[in-house]
Amino acid sequence: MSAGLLYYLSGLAILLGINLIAIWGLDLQFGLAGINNFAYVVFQAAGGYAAALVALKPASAYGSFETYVGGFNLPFPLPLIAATLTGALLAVPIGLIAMRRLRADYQAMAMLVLSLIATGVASAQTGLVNGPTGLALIPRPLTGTLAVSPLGYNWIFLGLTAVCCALSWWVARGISRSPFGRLLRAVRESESAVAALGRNPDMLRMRVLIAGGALAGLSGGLLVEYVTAWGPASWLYPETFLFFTALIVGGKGNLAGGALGALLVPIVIIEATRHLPAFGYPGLIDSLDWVVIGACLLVFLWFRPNGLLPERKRVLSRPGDEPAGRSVRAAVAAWRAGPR
Amino acid sequence: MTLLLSVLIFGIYSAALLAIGAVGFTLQFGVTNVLNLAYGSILTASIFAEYGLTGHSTNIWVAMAVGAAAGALLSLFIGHVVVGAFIRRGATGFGIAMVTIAISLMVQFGLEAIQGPDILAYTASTHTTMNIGGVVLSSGQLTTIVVAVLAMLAVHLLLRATRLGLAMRATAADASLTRTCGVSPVRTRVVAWLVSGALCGLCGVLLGLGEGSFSSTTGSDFFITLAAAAVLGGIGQPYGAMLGALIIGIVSQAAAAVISPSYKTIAAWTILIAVLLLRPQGILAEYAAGRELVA
Amino acid sequence: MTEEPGVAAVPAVAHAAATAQDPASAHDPATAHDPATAQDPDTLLQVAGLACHFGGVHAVQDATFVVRRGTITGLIGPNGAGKSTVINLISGRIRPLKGSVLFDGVQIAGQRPHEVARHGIVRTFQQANVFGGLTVLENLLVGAGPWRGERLTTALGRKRAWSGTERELVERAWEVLDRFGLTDIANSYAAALSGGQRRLVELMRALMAGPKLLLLDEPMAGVSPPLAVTIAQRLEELRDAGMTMLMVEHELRLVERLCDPVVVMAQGTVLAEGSMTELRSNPEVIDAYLGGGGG
Repeated sequence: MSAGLLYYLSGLAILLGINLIAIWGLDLQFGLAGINNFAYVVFQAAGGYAAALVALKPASAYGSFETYVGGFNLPFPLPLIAATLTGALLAVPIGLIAMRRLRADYQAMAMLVLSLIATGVASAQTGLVNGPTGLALIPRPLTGTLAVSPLGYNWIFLGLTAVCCALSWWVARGISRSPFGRLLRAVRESESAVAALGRNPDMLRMRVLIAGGALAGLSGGLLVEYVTAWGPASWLYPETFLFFTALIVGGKGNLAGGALGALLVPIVIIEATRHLPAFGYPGLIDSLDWVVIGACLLVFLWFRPNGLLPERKRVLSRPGDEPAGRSVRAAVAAWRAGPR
Repeated sequence: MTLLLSVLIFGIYSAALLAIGAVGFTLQFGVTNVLNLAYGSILTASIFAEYGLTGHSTNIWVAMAVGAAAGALLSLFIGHVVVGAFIRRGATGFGIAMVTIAISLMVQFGLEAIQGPDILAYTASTHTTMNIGGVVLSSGQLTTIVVAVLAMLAVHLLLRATRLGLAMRATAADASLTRTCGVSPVRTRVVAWLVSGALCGLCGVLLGLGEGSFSSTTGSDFFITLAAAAVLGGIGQPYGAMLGALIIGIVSQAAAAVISPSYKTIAAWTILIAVLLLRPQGILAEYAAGRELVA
Repeated sequence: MTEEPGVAAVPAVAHAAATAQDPASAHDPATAHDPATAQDPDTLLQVAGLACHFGGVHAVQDATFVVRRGTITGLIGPNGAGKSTVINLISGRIRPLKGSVLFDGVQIAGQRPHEVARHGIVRTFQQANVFGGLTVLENLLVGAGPWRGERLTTALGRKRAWSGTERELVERAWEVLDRFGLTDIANSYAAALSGGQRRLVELMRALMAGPKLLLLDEPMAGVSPPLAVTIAQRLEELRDAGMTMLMVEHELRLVERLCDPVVVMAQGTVLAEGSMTELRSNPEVIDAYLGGGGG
């Protein structure tokens, strides 16, 4: 394997990891709790901006190349922590909007509009995050202290991403398997019944928005630190639907489905098509990618809305009644009793 | 003083443009109960179709007719055939929203693939202009206002003076009432998709001509402002959409003048969020909370 | 509802004597005109002067009645009398315009549904409101009341804190299924069950919470006669074990079998309270059911 190929593959693996975190985050909100968060990409963007603004030096250090707020030039891992926290905190105002007793599609539209307002403001307010051009020259973690080749650095970043993935997997799995996760699914099924049983559905939804938002923020922070540039064009509203398509294709309500979706949609569709022999004008393939994504979404919504790996039924056996347990227990008891 | 007049007059022009599209959107929602998030892409596609079929500099009336026809047909296909199929299968509000999003992605990026992300320009034909107290309006803008008024009149007549219009109003109030008007529910819905699509296409063409250029994102950008006007006035209520368009037209023009031009759209979108948060039923309408989706 | 859900599924009636009515209720005109219930430790729920505006009409104008401990109190009346609305008012789904709801001496009028539920009132719905995408066992587990282990924080780390209690809850859920003879559907999705089975699941789930008062909104509606008999038997068993219930029901034979006393409502107010035999000979009640025709 040539170094070039390894470099490419390691980069792809990093992107897969980042998408895994983002998709698992959305799965908590949408797959588990049934929140139609059409503004999900804003959580990722906020995390990305937080990491950037914390890692960058103050704007003046770059001449008048870019203007933005913040610029604290803090070292790893503070930008990533800032990213995660920002994603989590953003859940509060967005959650208050999502809590409205709106019909599902209205609510979806409201979230979509929020996403548009966010990109609009980021572009319009040039002093905030350098307007439509976006931020660049974002420092990568630990570049100063490590003297490695680009390929070597990629492996290190991949290691970092893998650790973050493992963390996210642990969080998502923990929530999914817990009584809290069961409550979230109950809220998804019937909010009124949950309230009739003494729980506040709004608080439950707020909590999962925070948890999912934290994961989204983390993924944004990693992405920004890897790509070193971040502008409104990177987080337009269709990106949210990239994640939704991944969940609908791969299967929501379970981590394996999310992982499959992360592999198939952002990686296979987007990345694989990058390597087709270039035809048409530059950028044609990018547009066609989105047509394919829209088509996949439609096809799966029609034929297999639960995805390739649907949420599995959680079977609970009677405690002390496991067939295997019974036979082992019976065998041990019989052995202890000795020959008659 | 000229500033105030300018805001007022361009506000009315904006309102006129918005009204055509917003009334189409809200009329279709009222009858079919589908929140059509692909409406913006129908708008874009209509402009492209008109441009592709009739070219750069055409008679404005021909352009409008072609645009309206393209919009009507596309709307019928998307709404009645595709979305309708999902509804007949039992899809609900959120599922339908996802379907319309998927369709809009395919249409918008399909158009982008065909044309490229470049902006297409309409060659400006010689404009006669009109000067009102120091504010200059082009003939295209004047035509837009005139056409908007005519379109609103036509919609008004359709709703009040025809049996089909009665059926549409009845369906908007209560889907089960359609049959009592003697018009089949399917026919009512088909007409709703056609009319809303025609208004959408008409709006698109006038928007393209007014801006002088368009691209594959024109429709989706404008759609939220259209939705804002519709929701503000009371979604499902055509007269509400007209009122909403007027308010947003003037307010966004004022925001552009006072804050900055890029805030024109942000102002409109903020109004939409505020309405959804504070009074989702809008100014005029009863909130369509638990209505069934009708195919 | 308690923090530790290890309590028996049926509450003890023992503490009834210890609770006293809220002295403020002495000023309430309802209790003033019926001094027998003013400080009655036997009364679990006291509704007085409840009124609300719903759907544009005064659905409930003045609801005043009591529910005594250990009874299945029926709530009957012709269509539109406001019975379900009263249930919604008590359970917090609708805000009352005025009136009071005293539960075990505590004023709960105007509280939100989850707050009302935490006092120990669990309701069922007219349309069996189960968690379709969860299994029957999971439905029951959710029913077992708020407890510490269901927090986000325990989900993230302190597994040991809740796995023990979780096992107990699962054990208890199986016991409830045993009692109802429904162990074979334990791991079926609730959405895959028949309507009657779903009602039973809703009932079992409500029991897991260890409620002090069950509000049943037409528990037999749309249920096959043999299943209705089963449900009726279960309700009798519960009552015999000390559970208090308020039941809205149309089927008068069931009401006769199960309920004593019975409250009759018509047009938003309470007409009379008493046993079925008393009510049968009450001219106002007969009038209400026959629509006021004749004498």
